[in-house]
Amino acid sequence: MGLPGALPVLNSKVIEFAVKVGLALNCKLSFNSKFDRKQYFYPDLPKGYQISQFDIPIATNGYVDLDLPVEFGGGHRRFGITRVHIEEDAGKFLHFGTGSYSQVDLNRAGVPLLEIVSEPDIRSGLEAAEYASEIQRVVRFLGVSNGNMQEGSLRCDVNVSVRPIGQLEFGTKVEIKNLNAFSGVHRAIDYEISRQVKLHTQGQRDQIVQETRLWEEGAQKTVTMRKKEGLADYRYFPEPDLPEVVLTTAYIDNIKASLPELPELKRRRYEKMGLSMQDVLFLANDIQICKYFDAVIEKGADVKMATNWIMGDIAAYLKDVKLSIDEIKLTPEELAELIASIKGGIISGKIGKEILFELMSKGGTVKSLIEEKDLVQIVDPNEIERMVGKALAENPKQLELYRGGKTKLQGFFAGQIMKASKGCIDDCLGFLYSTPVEGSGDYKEILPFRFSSAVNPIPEDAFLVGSHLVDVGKADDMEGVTTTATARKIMVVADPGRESAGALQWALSHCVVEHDELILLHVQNAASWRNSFTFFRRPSQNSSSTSVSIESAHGGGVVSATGGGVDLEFLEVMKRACEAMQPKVRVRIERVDMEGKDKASAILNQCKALSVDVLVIGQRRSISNAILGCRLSGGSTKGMDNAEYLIENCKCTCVGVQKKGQNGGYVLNTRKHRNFWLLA
Amino acid sequence: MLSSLQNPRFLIFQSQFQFNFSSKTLNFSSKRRLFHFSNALHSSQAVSEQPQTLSPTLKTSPPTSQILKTRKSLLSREIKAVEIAEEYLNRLRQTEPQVKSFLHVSENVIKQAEEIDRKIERNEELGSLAGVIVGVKDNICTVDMPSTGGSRILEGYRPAFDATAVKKMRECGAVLIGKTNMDEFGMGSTTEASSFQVTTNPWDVTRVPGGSSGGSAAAVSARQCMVSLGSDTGGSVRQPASFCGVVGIKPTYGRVSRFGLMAYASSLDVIGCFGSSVVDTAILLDAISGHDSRDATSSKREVPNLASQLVSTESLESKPLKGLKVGLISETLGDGIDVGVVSTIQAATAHLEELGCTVTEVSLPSFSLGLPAYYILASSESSSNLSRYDGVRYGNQVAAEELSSLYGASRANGLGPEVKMRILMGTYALSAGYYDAYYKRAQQVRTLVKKNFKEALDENDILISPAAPSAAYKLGEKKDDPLAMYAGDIMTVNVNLAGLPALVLPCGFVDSGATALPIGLQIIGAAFDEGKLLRVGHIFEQTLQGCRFVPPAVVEGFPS
Repeated sequence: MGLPGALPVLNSKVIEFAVKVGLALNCKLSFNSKFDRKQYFYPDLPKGYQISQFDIPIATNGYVDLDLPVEFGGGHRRFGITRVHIEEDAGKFLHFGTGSYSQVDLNRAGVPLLEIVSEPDIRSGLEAAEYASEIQRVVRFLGVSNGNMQEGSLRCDVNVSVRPIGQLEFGTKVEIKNLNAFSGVHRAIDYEISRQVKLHTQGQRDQIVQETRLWEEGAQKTVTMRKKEGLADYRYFPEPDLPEVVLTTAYIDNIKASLPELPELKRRRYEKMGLSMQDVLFLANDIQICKYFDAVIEKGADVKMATNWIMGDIAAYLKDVKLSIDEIKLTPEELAELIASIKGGIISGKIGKEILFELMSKGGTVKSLIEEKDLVQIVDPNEIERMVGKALAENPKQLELYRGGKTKLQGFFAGQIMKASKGCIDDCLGFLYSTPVEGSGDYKEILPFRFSSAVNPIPEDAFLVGSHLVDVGKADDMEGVTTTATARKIMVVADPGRESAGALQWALSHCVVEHDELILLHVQNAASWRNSFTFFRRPSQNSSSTSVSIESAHGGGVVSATGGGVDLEFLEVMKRACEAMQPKVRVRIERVDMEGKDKASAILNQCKALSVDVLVIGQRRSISNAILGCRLSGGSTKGMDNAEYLIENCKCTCVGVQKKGQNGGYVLNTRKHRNFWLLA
Repeated sequence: MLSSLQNPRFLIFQSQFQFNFSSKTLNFSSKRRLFHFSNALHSSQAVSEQPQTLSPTLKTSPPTSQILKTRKSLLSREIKAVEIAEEYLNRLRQTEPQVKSFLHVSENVIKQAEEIDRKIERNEELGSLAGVIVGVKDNICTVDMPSTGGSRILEGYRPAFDATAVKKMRECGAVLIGKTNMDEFGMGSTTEASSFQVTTNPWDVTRVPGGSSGGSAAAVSARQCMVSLGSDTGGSVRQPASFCGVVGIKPTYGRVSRFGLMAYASSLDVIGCFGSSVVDTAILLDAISGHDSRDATSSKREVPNLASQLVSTESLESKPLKGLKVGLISETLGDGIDVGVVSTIQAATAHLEELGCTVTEVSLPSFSLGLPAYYILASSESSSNLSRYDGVRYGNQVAAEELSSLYGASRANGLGPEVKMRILMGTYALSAGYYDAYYKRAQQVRTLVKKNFKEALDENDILISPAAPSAAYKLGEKKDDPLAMYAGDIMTVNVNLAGLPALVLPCGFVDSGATALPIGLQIIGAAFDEGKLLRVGHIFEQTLQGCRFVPPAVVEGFPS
């Protein structure tokens, strides 16, 4: 409130936190730092000055290392830290609709905060957002702040300038405020870069003035907030109410010894454990997840399995119930036990999944649950066959239909069998001696079939569930089976080749249902487009990438081949095929440029941008797939084809499709399921 | 008038109990003698030029502790705290029309006194200030009384908290009688810069009481309260103490918490004490000293019991200050200092020598640099400290269409000319491009001043100087000549720059036509050496002959 006679007192915790952050950001600490007053009048500043550190900040000259996300091309970066200083927060303005007055909330005024200033090393919105999120991770790992941007516990102002290649000095900087999320940071910077580049290219460089701009989330652009007439004179002078801060070596050493393992070290350690960068970034992103994962690993659990469980089912559950990993009832010890039980063949992965949910929501031990529910898996082929026979015998009508060509009733039978076995058949067996050949009671043909999600659908396998159950549902005689009516976006990577055509064919016959939207994505390589933009040191992602979206109406839109001189007629052909086979499904064509990246990254970007639910890509029969029947380990993207890479790294479900001859059906690959044969 | 000042019951009581300090206070019981003395002051203008040579027949008694007297009489149940409070309230009402030292008189005086009486009834332990009537400078926050800092912009402002010093006084049982007038936010040396009223000097109501704590000094001088709190940024306790003939102490920076003191210049401000005797000042300082977690600049150093160090004058040897090395600051007796002041200080020096001190002249080469350095630093800090008075959250707000005119109009309307001038000076001194030339150089001078003081105090136990270059001057005399007024702070500002403690006590008079005016002796000590200052001051005061520092009008009643 800045009441008369009130005095500031330094909170000793803030010094400790500042030292922690300074050490974590590899800074040089000032043994004698002091406070200064920065003076200006504004209603959010009750005293008329802000206590800050002007010429001797507590920490200077550091850096932070981070890894860019794989879907953005990956890469390791180091950004310089100019300084870390302590200052007090100002109040918060509350603007109301009428506009005739504003209110100010002074509850946070005077609360200490740390300001971290980075060197001008950041070259894009993405890098800035990643830098900010690394700072967030660091402060969370250190326990210095919850780093929550929505609550204002972590705030970020950015300064953007552009300069022509070859120019040494920086251009005029523009400050952007009102950034409430990392995505906003990312987009605001990219917008601002493109705005400034545009002014440059139009010869209006002088229109870039030193000012503060506001990021408008709704309009996705920056607008002028206030222009600065020269440099404001803050009349800094040493704060007489606070004594200077003197740090001793012992104090610093003590804090240094208490620092936790920081994100960068964790990432390097996880990388050495053989995890893919995608996994590493996921695990090291969250301190709670890290702790949990480390605890599971410490109990001797298989690293890759632990990763998959945490990143897959557990993460999905957490998202669903809006809890953090330390709030669920499943202890790391029990997860390790669960993994060990599956690995040791005591229970099936399917059962593992089922009891996982129980463990997460209700707690208990793996052992007691297995015993209690009698869930030890059935591995005896005779026993399985007996159950299959029983299922067939009990459902003659469906069997009839199946024999009449309704092959998709596989799913129904699968469900019956899983029900009978209480889920105790290992889906890792991968196939089942199950399909009766017409006219005989014997099981002569081997049909690979997966049961995993027929009973208990989970998002990763949603497409399988969707297609099978819907088809079964169409048989009109199934009880207790419902269709999933939610419209999904299914994207098929479209190329003028056999693989792509096969993929589309599968998607149309097995994947797409009414209400769904089908997107044909074509990635083109139009390198010539970029040349005009490389003139600048910091090409903006938005300005240099072009995404053309053509909504197709029924009856066929005309696609004009604008970029790169590629013959795009096949897209039209594909689209017409879609309309022929699934007349009710909306189809549109998306074309996107590779922007110098690899094709896979461009596809990933597009998946994210369009919120695609299922990605379908044609897959060539690779030697490794054929021989080993398993994916390459090690997380290296080299030696993996695009489809493999996408299956591994796509956030949504990605299905690789190989068409097997004219009537040979399909071999499908997803992250969870390898070489899944689907007969025509 | 006199009877109310010298309550007969006190006197009976005094004869019954032996005071530590006041074997001589028995003499004090003679009404006639006192009366004669004050008459003598009036009539013997010829001698008043050399007041210390007053005829030995006009024997006077040294000042006695009002606090100890109150305590003894309360404990012996000779008198009730309520009666004492009423007595002071009556005198306040009678004298206030002439003196105008209070901006607010508490409605709770009697209530506070009753609380003390209840405690006495219940035989509860009494704090060191139980029943003591205290005035508080208006820039020190009090939760039950408005605190304006003498400024229109805070007119009617009631703080949400007590200053730590006030809180401590209350805990010691003090009865707060009211808020005393001051120059707006402490900026001034005459109390004429108050937004509300002009306080006069009880010795001569046509003269200034000094400032900025003029109200607190005048209130003690006029016996409207026993002791009072002031604040001292550049001499604001010591100069008015000198002008009003009372004892004032500016403690070491950090000795007393500044929490609740409206900041003028944070690195210089200290809360100080006024009393009519050194003992009273010591007891009050003792009560308010100590570390405060709410003031990061308050010292954690232990506070010795200041009052108990004051030896009884009974047991004094002939040379009680034998061996004490006293440095007389030579720069303080040169040009621009009134002759009367110089001779009074010389007489005080002679008295110290009589008490056994070795007095030598010491030079502080940086002395003259202190004044400009002080005005730059104090103005700079004040330009920042006064930013909070913007009319937004509290205080007088002038309605305006938009923000900058709200600030502008509220401050233009609420702040007085002296304050505006200092804010402008300070803003200028801190501006980009001028910082090095002004603020930074002034800080360098400050370092030099500290160094000079340290050297002088390494050589000497204490340093002495006048508290002001003149006695109290006429109201309005320097109102339009700020530089002349600023020059009046030459004796005191260096002590603030060095952060040292200093005691001012009346040591004699100069003649000024109608009345004799008191002159204060400043005793400067090393940091946190308040105990020594008080001890020396106490012995000096108790052994000083022929002076009685009660304004004649207080004894006789002000002419209405």
